[in-house]
Amino acid sequence: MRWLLAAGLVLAVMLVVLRQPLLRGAAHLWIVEASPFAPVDAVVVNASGRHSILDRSAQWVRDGQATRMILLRGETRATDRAGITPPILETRLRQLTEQGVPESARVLVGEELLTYHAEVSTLAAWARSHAVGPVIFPVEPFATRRVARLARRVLAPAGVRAMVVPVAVPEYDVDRWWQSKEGLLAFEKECVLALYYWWRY
Amino acid sequence: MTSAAPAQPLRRRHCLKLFLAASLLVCVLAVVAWQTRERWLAGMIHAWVVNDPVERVDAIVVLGGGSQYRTFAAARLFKNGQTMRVLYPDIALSVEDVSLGRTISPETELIGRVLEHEGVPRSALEIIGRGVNSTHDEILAVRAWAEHHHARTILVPTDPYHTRRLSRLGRKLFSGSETRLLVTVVDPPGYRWQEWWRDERGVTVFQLELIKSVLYAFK
Repeated sequence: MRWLLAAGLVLAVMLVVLRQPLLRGAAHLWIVEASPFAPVDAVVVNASGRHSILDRSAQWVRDGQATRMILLRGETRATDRAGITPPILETRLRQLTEQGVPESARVLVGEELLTYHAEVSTLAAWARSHAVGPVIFPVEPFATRRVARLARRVLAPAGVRAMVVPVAVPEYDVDRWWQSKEGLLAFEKECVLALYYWWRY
Repeated sequence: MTSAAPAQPLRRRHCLKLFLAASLLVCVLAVVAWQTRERWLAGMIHAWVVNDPVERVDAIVVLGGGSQYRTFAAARLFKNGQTMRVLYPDIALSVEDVSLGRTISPETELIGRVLEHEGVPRSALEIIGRGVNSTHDEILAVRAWAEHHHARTILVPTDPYHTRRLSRLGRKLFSGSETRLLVTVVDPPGYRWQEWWRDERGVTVFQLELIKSVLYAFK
């Protein structure tokens, strides 16, 4: 019994002392890192409206890493319907023009897509009637595991090879995610959603 | 020594029976819980949500984080004559806002724009607090306003799952004060809050609220 207590105490001390590398390691284990890829047919931009994902995607198109950009349409917000704010898509298209992505390189897919599952399913349905080669699917780091699994289960049967690529977001740093409220919430949310997706899809 | 020997197998058999009975009970309970899950999950959420009767109040508060629906609800309540004043917080700037040189958060700005668009005159609007980034900060800002204006009742329209934490926080921060904080439910867009387990958004919002409620209980 004494040995058990001593071992528990040593373990607890080690966990406290090594918490930073352990938490950092947990985040890196969770994130599905993309291997370097050859130029692809398209980069898929999800409906989240994140600037960092849009900017990185535009860069891939400009650099010739992707021939075109598939933009998934998100929800119409109440303020959009009331004419108070411009729709997110309109703002993004303007940003893409400013960033040198020609209109001919953009394809708009879907309507009112609210979740990754809806986005991936819509993309798979669209790909069945359009020729789609390999695609890059950039998402925020902690969502990579969930989206990569969805891509394997939904996009692959539709003949689309998707490479899920983590793109850093300004809200949190994956190497210090436990030090900010946003990072903690993002990691916790992804763990719950990964379970939900595993159960449901 | 010789009399203790037969007691051992007896005791072991008794423990085994107890274990089997407990396992059976757990299995039966699990099956019943699964079969009736919709009922008890719905019951749980209705017990969780706080919805005070709406009355005429000194001010309505639009909290941050739900500008797409809380703001519209506040404007409707204003137009129904529930109040003469609508308050909304000065929400903290994000890292991105700072890098873009913003001095007011886009959400604070949006709340003001929506309220004006929906017919709340500018003279009825007031920004409270400074750089708030949690419900706790927001209610502290409301309390400061209420103390300054000797307000008796304040109404906060918010998401169903948020109502319990908000109501508890209101009781705590306004205890000993003449002000009452009332909470009313606003339907969030995109999912049916009464059936949170059916939708990804419902699951995300509900579990987050559970965690925040636990954290606030220790605050």
